[in-house]
Amino acid sequence: MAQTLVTEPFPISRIANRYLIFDVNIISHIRREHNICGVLIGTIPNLSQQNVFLGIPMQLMPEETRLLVEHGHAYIVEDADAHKTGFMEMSREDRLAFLRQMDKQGVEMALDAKRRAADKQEKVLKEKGLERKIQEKNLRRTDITPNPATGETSVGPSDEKSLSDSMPPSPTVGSARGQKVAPYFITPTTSHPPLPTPPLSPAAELPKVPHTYPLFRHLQSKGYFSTPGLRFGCHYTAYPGDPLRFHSHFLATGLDWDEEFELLDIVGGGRLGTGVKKAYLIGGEDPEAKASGKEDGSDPVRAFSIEWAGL
Amino acid sequence: MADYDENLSHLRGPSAADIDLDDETQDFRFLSNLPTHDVKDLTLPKRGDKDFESHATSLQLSTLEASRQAMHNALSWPRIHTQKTHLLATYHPESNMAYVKKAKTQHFQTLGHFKAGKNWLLPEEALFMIERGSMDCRWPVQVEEGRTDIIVYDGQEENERGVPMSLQGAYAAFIGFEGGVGGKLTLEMYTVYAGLKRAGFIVFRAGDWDDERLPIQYNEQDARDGDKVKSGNWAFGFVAEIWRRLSRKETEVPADRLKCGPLLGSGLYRSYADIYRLLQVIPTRDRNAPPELILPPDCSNPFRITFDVYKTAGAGKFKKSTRGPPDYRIAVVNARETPVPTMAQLNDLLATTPYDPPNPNGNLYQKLRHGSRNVILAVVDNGIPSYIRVGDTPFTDEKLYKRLGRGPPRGKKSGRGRGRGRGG
Amino acid sequence: MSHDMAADVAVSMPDPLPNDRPSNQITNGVERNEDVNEPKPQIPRPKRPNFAQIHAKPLPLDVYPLPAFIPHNPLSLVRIAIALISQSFWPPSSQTVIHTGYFSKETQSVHVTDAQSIRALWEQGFFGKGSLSRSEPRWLDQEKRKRGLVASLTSEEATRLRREERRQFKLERARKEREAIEQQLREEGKPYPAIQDEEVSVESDLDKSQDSQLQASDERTEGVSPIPTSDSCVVADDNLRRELEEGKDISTQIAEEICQPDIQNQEHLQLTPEEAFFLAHATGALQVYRNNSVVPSSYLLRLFCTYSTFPFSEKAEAYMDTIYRLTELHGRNSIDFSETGAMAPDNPFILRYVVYLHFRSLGWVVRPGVKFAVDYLLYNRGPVFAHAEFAVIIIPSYSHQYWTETSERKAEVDKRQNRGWWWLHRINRVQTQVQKTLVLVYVEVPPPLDEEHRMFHKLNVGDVLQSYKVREFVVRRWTPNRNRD
Repeated sequence: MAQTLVTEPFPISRIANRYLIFDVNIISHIRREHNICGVLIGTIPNLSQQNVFLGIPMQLMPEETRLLVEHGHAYIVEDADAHKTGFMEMSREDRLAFLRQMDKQGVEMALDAKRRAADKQEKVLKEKGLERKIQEKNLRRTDITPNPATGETSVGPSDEKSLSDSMPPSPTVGSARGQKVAPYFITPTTSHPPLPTPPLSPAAELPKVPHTYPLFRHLQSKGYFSTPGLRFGCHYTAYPGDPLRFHSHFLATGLDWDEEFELLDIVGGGRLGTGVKKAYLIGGEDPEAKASGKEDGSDPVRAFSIEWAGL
Repeated sequence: MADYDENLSHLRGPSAADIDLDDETQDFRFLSNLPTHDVKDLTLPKRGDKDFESHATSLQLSTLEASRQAMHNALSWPRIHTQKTHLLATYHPESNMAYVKKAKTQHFQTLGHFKAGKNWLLPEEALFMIERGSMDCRWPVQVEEGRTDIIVYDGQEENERGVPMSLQGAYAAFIGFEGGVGGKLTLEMYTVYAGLKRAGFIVFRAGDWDDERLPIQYNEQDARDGDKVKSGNWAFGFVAEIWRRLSRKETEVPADRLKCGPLLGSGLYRSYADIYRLLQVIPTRDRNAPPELILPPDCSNPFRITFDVYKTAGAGKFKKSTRGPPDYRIAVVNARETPVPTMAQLNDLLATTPYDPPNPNGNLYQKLRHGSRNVILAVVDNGIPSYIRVGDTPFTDEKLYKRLGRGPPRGKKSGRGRGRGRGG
Repeated sequence: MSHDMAADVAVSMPDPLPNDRPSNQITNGVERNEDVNEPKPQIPRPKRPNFAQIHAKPLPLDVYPLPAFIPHNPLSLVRIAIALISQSFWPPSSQTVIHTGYFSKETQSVHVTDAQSIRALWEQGFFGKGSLSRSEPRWLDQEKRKRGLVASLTSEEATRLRREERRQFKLERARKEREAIEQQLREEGKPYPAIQDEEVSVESDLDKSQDSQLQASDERTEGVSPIPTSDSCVVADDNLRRELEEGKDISTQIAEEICQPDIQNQEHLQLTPEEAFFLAHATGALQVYRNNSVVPSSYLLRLFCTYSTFPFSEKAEAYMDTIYRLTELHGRNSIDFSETGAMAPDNPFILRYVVYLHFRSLGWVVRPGVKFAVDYLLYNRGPVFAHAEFAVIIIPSYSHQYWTETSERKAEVDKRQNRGWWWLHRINRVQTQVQKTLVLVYVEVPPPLDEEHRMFHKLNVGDVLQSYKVREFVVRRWTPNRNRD
């Protein structure tokens, strides 16, 4: 599926104080343009029995959201409210119009699947040297039934269980001759359509960010991708490029400028990175440098990396 | 001389068993290589081949582009229901749940509860079913335009069918509306729920989430389990007492030595075990006493068991109604809102888990690692769960000095004095 | 330079034996090592000391078990009777030797300088650390070797040698990778940068297995080896030098030291405050001196508490000095103070000592855990027998209602109690990497002592210690994938 161009600012859903993105194009866009990769937390249909590859929605850290909003790339939408008014109070005409649209899509998908199944059977049969015409006649007569000879049908990415009996047995909608096909039902990923693009609301408050935000922002500005680093024992794991293709360089922990920390913790951080070829990074924002540095544009955040010397 | 931990000059790299594939993003191109009808035989990839840093080769860039495209494609897979597999559900806003009239799939063996002719799904159950593409949930339909109360239809008549709920709508409803109906499901809890379901577990809510907290689990006989009461008759006790006096054995440190020390007097001791026993002056919690709750009941206590988790028992063997005690108890914690628990919080949390001692014949270290009560904390940091098992272990249960011999070998065989666990 | 030497050596020395088979003799033959590229130093295993015998006593105390009672042998009764009677008349003491140490304010530790005490305290319970060594005091041995008395490497030197070789190996590997990338760039017709600083991108994903093999080999080499490095050994004897050049196995040649000039041992044993207090107050096997007199336990407790926080409270320090001088002048029991020194109930020393005593009393060998970012490491018998299995972190717990009575106290307590999950995961991950299990030990902190008991001579050490309670929780990572069935 081609990636559609995304216009900025794009909406970010706020649901119960968490920030989620449902549009795959926006997900690809922010990855490519803003080195933000978020966390995929949803289940990919057909791959619901593993935790390695997860899908939509993508959860953004409040830090990521705030950064995007501050720079004008995105705006926040109170999605629960939007859905309440949009769906619970939808007019009858809108509802019926949408249902018709969904049915149409469903029919198209069913036809498409049927076509693909036919193509596949044809390919298989060609290999077996049977005639094409006979097969076409069979298909038209009995609609789509599984070919007993090959015992396999291909449906498309909607079935996980036994696939041989997945085709709809009889047409219920549409009456074109030979094209009687039951529509598929679709669960769309996003709610737009039928809802219109949510409007920009200037009153939406900026996300509250933890005190590690300055370090996060600093890393972003240098081109790093950051993901939540809890499992590694740090606030953020920083990658020099897209995490799809790169290993992380830093295990970053943010601190306040005057925050006291235990030296033992620094030992731990240093040890942490050594076994896995990463460096432990601590960083924070100097409030004085921040106040005075606004004019000359110098970065008020300082970061230090720590490695185990093993002497 | 050798010091094992000093000579550990370099940490070992992670062994194969330690590598968790879901710790780091894997390459989605792996999915593109799958023929779609072989999803059943999906075996997950080995650790992918990634680069350490950018070196501006075209090869690297094109690989990256291919990976991104693969990811985009995988995320675009639609959720389709054929006539045969179509499971229709309707959203119920008052309770923020969904119900199904015709439950024909085997999913309902492990979720949902039947009430008043319908199968009701809790918000996390409904959301998961929608997310994995197994369920077609519809928004309820108003009877007439302009009326504000909502009457729910199940889509029998064509013109009264509800609008399909998108994935986004499902999140907005089941997570977003929870607070509005007094529900307790948070996104973190849902993330853990979905992760465990995907891993193959059967997951239920622990108790009624409206409770302030779960009851303490205490069984009189459990306490006596570990301690074998040393039964002896009075004669034996008498002889033992005489023997103790004769051999000048002290059982307790007298008060004056406790005050100024040293705890061990200048007299003689017959065995190291005697010495160690005297040194045990620091109080610990009495494991045999019933667990007591330290904190007052509080709905906002973030530490309570969220889910009861069962391992898969094989198709068809699991019965919701007669399920036994769970294999694991999970308490979900939001890392960004809740700090590491205090002793009081841990105490109270573990008091609601049953007494689960290790096998008494096991290895020393295994016994200590197992603990007498345990719970699993699912700590979620912005969508990424990390599971930590906490066990309440009284180290006083395993007195190392009892494994020593009676004293240093006097030039004879040295085999007796060996402790266990050599080499771990 | 040392790399080349080791490579030469590697060719002619036999392979090291695997870790769990202690060798009792050194193989005499010379085997050709095929794999010259493998930078593993092939150092033959020396005779491994009999640790079970050396460390037979778990504490620096003697015990006098009665002879065994054998029912059918009447002589055993006689033996027991003799032992009992003689011990009533001439009771031996379990504290055969009382060691002495002195408190050093600069290092906030107790120093032991007597050579025999140093050996005894290390061997009988693994107390202390050599001030010039990594753990066991071995400076004197090292010096003797350096001066050619015994031409052999200590483990420190062997480690250094190994590390240098591995570094060379990594640089070589990085260079090869860089060349591969440049080759790729060349093929694509792109400009490629000149060879950069060697330290950049030494790491790569390749050869991970090799790396772990190298790491594994680190732990196999222990003890001494007969190969001198050029920068750390001056060979005194001509014969010796000749034999070395011929590459013969020389450890069999050197049975003892060749000559014994008098070398002053510059190293002392450093005891941490917990170890010192345990030896002094719990076992009575140590006496701690300040200036020239022995320090009683109650004073020692206060002293260690004063120096356990950083920076020290000057007021507390002054107070301790005053008490000490007055004690010396007037004797212990005649002091009466209206001004009392503060000893906060959650003073780090007390918390650490309570936990130290707790685990020692169960039979564990407790050692400092700084190297692994924890408070203590627990060993079953000692660090020479096996790795520590448990890593202890001490967390104060303020459940007593005193601590939540005022909002000030509550805020203070929250600051000390609240730790983040990132910190916990960090520590846990480090432990997992070194195959240790993390134990969180919560110490229940009592409300402060009342005014009366704070007074110096009324301090009842036992009461203080027993007002704390210890509770252990074992922490492990759990993964859904591996626990499904």
